[in-house]
Amino acid sequence: MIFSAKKFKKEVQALPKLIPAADALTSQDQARIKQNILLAIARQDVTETPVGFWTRRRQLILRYTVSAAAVFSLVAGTAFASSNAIPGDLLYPVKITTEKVQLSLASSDQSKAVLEAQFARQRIVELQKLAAQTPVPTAIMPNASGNPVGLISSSTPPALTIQTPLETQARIQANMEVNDALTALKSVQAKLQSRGDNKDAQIIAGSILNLQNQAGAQHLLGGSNNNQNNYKDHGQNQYKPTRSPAATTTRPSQLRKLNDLPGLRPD
Amino acid sequence: MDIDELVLQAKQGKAEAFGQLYDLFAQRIFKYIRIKIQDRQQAEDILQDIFIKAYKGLPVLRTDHLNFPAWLYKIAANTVNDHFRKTYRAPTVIGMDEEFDIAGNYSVEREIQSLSDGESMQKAFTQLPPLYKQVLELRFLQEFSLSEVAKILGKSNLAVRLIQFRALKKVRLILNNDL
Repeated sequence: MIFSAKKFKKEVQALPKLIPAADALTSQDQARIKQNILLAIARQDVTETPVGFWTRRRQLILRYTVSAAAVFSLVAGTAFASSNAIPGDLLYPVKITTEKVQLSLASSDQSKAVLEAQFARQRIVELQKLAAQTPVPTAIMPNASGNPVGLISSSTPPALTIQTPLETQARIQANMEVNDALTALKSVQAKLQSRGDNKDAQIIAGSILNLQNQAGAQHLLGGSNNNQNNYKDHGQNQYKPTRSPAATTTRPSQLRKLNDLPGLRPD
Repeated sequence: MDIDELVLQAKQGKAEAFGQLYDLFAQRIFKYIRIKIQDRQQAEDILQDIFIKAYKGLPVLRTDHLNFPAWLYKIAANTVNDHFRKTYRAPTVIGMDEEFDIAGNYSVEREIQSLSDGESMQKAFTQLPPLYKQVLELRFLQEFSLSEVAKILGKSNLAVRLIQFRALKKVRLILNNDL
C-alpha cells in the first residue's frame, strides 16, 4: 500500500524513547489542575446551561428565518397597503415604485404593454377618486340646465373647473402614462399582426379601445369620448396623440383664477 | 468502571465521574498539548480549558458508537488551534535585547552533538514539525486508527497517511544519526 508504515517497525518501536520524559505532568500538577477544573465545573453548574452545536445552529437558523420573514412581510404588507393609495398619500410613492419593479420584471414586450395599460387605468381610477374627494363649491355647481354657474364659461369641461394642483399633477401623469401605454399596446398589436397572430392582436385592440374610452371619459388625451379618432398611425406603428390645446391640462393662469374663487383654494 | 460508564455518569452531572475521566486522560492529553505548546504553564492552562470544554460538551454528546478518547483529542486539537489563533491576533511585544542574541553562536547541531545519543535523538525529535509529532503521537502512542487521527486533526485519511510516512522517514534519519 502506498505510504505504508509497515516498513518502519523499528522506528515505531523507538518512538516512546524519543519523547522526552520531562514533558510528563507531575502528580502534584495533575491534582492541582483537577481541583481547578472541578471548581470551575461547580461554578458553571450554577451559572451556565450548556448549549450544543446543533442547538446553537438551530437557534441561528430560526433567528435568520424569522428576520427574513419579518422583512418580507413588512415589504409585502407595505406594497399591499399602497395598492389603494392615491396621489398625495404617504404610500403613493411605494405604489409607483412597486409598479416600476413589476414593469422591469416583465418578460416580454406584450406583457409589459399589458402592464402599462393596467397602470394607466390605475391612474385614471386615481383621478376619479381625487375628483370625488375634492368638495365641489356651490359657486360653480351646475345649474338645472347642467351648465356651471359662476365665472367659468359653460364651454369649460367640468373636470377642469375644480382642479387642485395635486389633481393637475395627477392628470399630467395620467396623460403621460395613458400615452405611453397606448404607444406600447399599438406597437405590440402591430407586431402580432405582422406575425399573423390575429387572435392576440384582437385582444390588444380591445385593450386599446377600452383604455381610450376610459381616458376619454376623464377628458384625457384630447378631452372627448371619441378621442380614439385623434390618434394617427404614422407609418411604423408610431403613435402620436393630437392634443387639443384647451382641454389637456389646466393652464397656470386658469388655475390661478380658479384658486382665487372662494372655497376653491387647495388648502 | 469502564470509560463509557464514566462518561454516562459524567453526562448526568456527576463531577466525581468526570474527575476519574480526567485522571485517565490528563497525562496523555498533556503530552499531546506539549507537542505544539512549548511553554509548560500555557500547556497546563490549555489542559484545564480542554477538560472544562469537555464537561460543557457532555450534555449534548451522543453516546451511541462513542469514541470518547477521539472526541477528547479533537477538543484538545481545537483548543490548541484556538490558542495559536488568539496569540496570532494579539502578538506580544518582545524586546529585542532581552530575547534575541542575534550575534550569538548558538547552533542546534552543536548542541545536539554535545548530548548523549539518547538525549540527542530526543532533541532531534523535538525539532520535527509539530504536525509530524502529533500524527506519530496519535497513531503509535495513543493507538488511534488512521481515520480517527484524520477526524481529530481535521484532515483526510490520505493526508494523515502521507504525514505519517514522512514523519517516520524523519525518525529513521534521527535513529541513524543522520539528522
